[in-house]
Amino acid sequence: MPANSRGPLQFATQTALNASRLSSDSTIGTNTTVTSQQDGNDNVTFYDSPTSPPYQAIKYQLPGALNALSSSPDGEYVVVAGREVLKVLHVTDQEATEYINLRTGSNLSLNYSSNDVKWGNNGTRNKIATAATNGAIIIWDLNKSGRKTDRVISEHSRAVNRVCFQPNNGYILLSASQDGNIKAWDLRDPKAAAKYSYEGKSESVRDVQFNPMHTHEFAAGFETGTIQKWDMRNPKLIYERKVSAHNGPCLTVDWHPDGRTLASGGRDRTIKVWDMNSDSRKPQYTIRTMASVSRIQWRPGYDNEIASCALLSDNGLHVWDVRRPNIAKYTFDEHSTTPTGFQWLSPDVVISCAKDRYFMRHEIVGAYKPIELLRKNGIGWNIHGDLVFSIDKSTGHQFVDEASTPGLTNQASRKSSRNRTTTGEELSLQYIPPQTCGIAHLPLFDYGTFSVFAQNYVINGENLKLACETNAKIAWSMQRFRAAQTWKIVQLLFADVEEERDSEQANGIDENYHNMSVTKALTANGNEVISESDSESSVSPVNEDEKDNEEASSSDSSESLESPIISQNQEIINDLFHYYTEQSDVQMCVTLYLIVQQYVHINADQLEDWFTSYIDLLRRFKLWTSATDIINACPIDNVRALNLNATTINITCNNCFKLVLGTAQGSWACDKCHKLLNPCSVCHQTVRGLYVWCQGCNHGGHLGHMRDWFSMKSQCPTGCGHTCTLDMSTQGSTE
Amino acid sequence: MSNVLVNFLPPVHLKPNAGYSAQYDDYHYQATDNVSENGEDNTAGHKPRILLMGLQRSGKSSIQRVVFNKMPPNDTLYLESTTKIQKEDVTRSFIDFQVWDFPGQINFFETAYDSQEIFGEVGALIFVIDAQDDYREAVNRLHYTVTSAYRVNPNITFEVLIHKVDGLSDDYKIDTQRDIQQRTADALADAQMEHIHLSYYLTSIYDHSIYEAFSKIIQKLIRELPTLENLLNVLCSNSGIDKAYLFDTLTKIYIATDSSPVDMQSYEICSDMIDVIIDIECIYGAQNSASNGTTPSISGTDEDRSALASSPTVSAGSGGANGFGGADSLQEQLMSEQSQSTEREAEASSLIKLTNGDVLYLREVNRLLVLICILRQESFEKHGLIDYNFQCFKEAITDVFEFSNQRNKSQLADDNNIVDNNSE
Repeated sequence: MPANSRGPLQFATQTALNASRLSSDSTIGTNTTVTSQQDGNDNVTFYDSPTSPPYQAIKYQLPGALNALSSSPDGEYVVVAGREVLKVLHVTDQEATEYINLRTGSNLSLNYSSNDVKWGNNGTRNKIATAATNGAIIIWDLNKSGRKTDRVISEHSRAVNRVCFQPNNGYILLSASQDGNIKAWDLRDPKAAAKYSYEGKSESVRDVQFNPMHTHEFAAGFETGTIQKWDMRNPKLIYERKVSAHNGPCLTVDWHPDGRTLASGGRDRTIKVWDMNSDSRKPQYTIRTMASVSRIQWRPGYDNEIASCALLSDNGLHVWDVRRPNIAKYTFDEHSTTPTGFQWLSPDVVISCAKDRYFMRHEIVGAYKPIELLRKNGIGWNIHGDLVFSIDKSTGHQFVDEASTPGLTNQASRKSSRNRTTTGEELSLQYIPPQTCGIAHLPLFDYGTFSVFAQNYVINGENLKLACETNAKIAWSMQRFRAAQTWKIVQLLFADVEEERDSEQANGIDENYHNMSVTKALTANGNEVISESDSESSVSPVNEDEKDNEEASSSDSSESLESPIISQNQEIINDLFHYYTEQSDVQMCVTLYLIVQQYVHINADQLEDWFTSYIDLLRRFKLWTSATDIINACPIDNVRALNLNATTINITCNNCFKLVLGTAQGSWACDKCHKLLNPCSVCHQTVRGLYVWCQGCNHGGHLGHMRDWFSMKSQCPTGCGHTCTLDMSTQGSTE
Repeated sequence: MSNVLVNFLPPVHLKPNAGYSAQYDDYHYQATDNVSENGEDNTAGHKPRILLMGLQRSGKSSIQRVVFNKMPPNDTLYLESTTKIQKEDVTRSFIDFQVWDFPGQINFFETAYDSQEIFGEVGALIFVIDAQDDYREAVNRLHYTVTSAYRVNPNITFEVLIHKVDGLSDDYKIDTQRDIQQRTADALADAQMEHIHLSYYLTSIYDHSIYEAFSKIIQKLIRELPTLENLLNVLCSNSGIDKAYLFDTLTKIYIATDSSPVDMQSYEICSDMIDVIIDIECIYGAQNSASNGTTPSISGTDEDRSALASSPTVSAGSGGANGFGGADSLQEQLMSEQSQSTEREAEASSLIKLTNGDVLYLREVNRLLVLICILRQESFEKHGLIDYNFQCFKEAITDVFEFSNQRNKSQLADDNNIVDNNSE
């Protein structure tokens, strides 16, 4: 039963939290914005230029959409490539200017529209390789006069997605193609044939990257979502290691400068970091981004930071810290479409290009920090008056506390000592920003008394004297002396009216009252909603007749005899109601009204207010039974309609307490735990037909089995310890 | 290609699949024929064959019905368990393939079955694994199937569908895939057959993943793929198109796309667009073409055209695909050429403008293929250029298929000659 009650309770508190958050925003929000502004100021001073205007990215517009860029080894020149563009730009920290346009002349073949571009190094420092959309690889020589085309290699049958120069030997070029092959070219060799061809035995190759430390190694990302590590020296031409990294295509890979860690990004919106030397098949870190990851690159000089851009629908260029994967550390969002390529020129400078035709040079100073837009403190309360709050405890402006989460470098050094293998990894995975949480109890509302009153107050005013007395006793026992006194006064005020009626119909009312209290007792036990209707139907027809008589007579008498008394008491009663409204004690208002409703007149609008807010409160505290009682007792049509339209009765599984989603005819088994619902306690089969159960412990079964069982035993067949039979004579009523 | 299609026009050839003449009636499924009627069709001998295998209740028949017979995924619940090999010719689709649905409980490598006959001409063997079930048994069976089939025919491409992944969390999916991959790789390595390559796909019939998996599988069997891809690349770069798909109209499988990465959003919105067009064609399309039993082509007679012209623009519901926003206005332009001859040119086109500024543009390439492009609004201003480029593209595609068709025929003729010579 406690597990059963958890779900709705959580829901209730959740809504209460949400509601309170709205209200708390206005108060707390100002505080947090102030602190975040302070943070921002401090950061500016950190860069030692508090007065200078914020850094503006250098922009340069090109005639067409851009697909890729690459910088020369010295970082002064950048080549940008697209379907209609192939230009070399001269980029300084002030401006970008066009240097050479490689896409000149009249005969512009497909060779001039590029998927990817790379600038050579060392021996090929004046050469540029582009991957054309038609599968050709074109080598351009900048020193050549006239047409710069040095060589056209067309050996791939499908488009080439990525080209890559070996880091220390610019003559070796790798190309990754849609046709599933990775080919290595030696540019010193005048023959056109590929030196090696690596067949990934997988689908299209999306990316290929040389290992910066061990330059004979390279990694490739495939459209099947796998990444593979190859060694060029391996004569067998088979991959050394294969990781199925992504769900859906892997679009990009990048080696960490340490030479053993590889990051990969894919269409499944994740960036994953792998240790390529270990045998673990799980990534070291996973960063979940907002959109498919199209390119990634580690930030030089910062071992734990990696930049990424999306394939579509996200125009930002994000820099992440692997130790804090849930939020980007920096974001550049100057582009108006998704960036298609970017490269770090130095630890603080990044160049990027996009389909919006702009080439841009950003500095890290110009990036905004998403973390500063976040509110780090929070507050909320639940209906029981508990206030919960969390406070950001991080002291400095560090994004990640280096001491507590060592990250990649320290890990690597630790592992190189080979003392710890896997345990070290798991220790230091994520940075958790320090926070303090607290719960304070604010005794604004006495939940206990409220629910006791809600469950025990008599709300049937037919026997006013008795009802008032009972209610007074209850209030007294809960030490609500004022309320108890109120009940006493009400009793006195209307006692004489009552007595006249009492003398007329003493026996009938007595019986009625008895019946009523039984109902109350039942509901107090916390039984199902049904009990209300049960009690009504259990009232014998004779009683109902009497009720009718009563009502008829009381209405008669109220017109003839009691009108002077009403006018007498009306003022006091009005004061009473006024007092409790001021106190915002809707419980008292409603209960009082229900008791004395025959004798007083209250504005209907006010009544509806009371009732709806009281019912709302009751429901919030999960006092469904009491709420239904109130709704049924309410004289206002609008409120009564609550029970008439769209009443859904949800059934929970009696095993796992999950909601059973059955058809309109009900269902036989629980979807969650795959157990039968309400099987017979004796034979454990589904009961088709008559199902008999004990109102006390809710266990039951086939009519026949139950009868057999209880003819011998008096305790529940499930062994729950409940004595189901009161005595032999009540066996009939159990059924 | 049109020459080939003419072959299918006479009703005689349609006999095995006569029910499909009304294929776009509401979910018309037809019990597949178990009889092989290949004899009639002279190209049947060269149809690549797709085998669907797997343990029983792994979802093979459901896949077949959903992908090739347009059954709504929820209805697959009521499919009976398959008891014998169900063969289906997918003739009316561009993909001239046979799909064989193998019952799960029979062992086909026993001597009772001619494994040479079954696996001899198979293009792709698709093994379906139920990811929600305990898959150890399935992995064993996969190993057994792969090794046995490989012995018979080493040219088969093996594809593994890790199926029913709907309802699994992303992490669990990738873990399952990794586990299955590792187990199979280990088993193959033990058998010293690690050179066999398996491709794995995570699929579910409740989303587009099954179509994407089939697209990739079928693309491997299409010899013209590099050419098609290059053609699409050229088209894209010259017309400012962001992404172009060449769809098989019936199955919503894309048989080629340009070389930029496929993202699920654009694929889903394009395949939904086909549904929209087909629905509209069902309502306003010409009846006579359907009665010919020939085409899923979207075309209309004069009356239809006037009816369309008078009807207001159809606005699609706002429930568009996630990132793309709802379809803002749907401008249906069903252009038709008056059909004088039986060989009409399929000329349907459709244009949907999305709220985010993207334009979806559909053109019918031939009766079986449609091209769907996604491009920015700005690029679409050069509408005439795109149309001209499309015409070139269409001619090129027709040439490609005619060429490969002739090559097929000549090969077939050569084969026959050889057989004849041998018999003599």
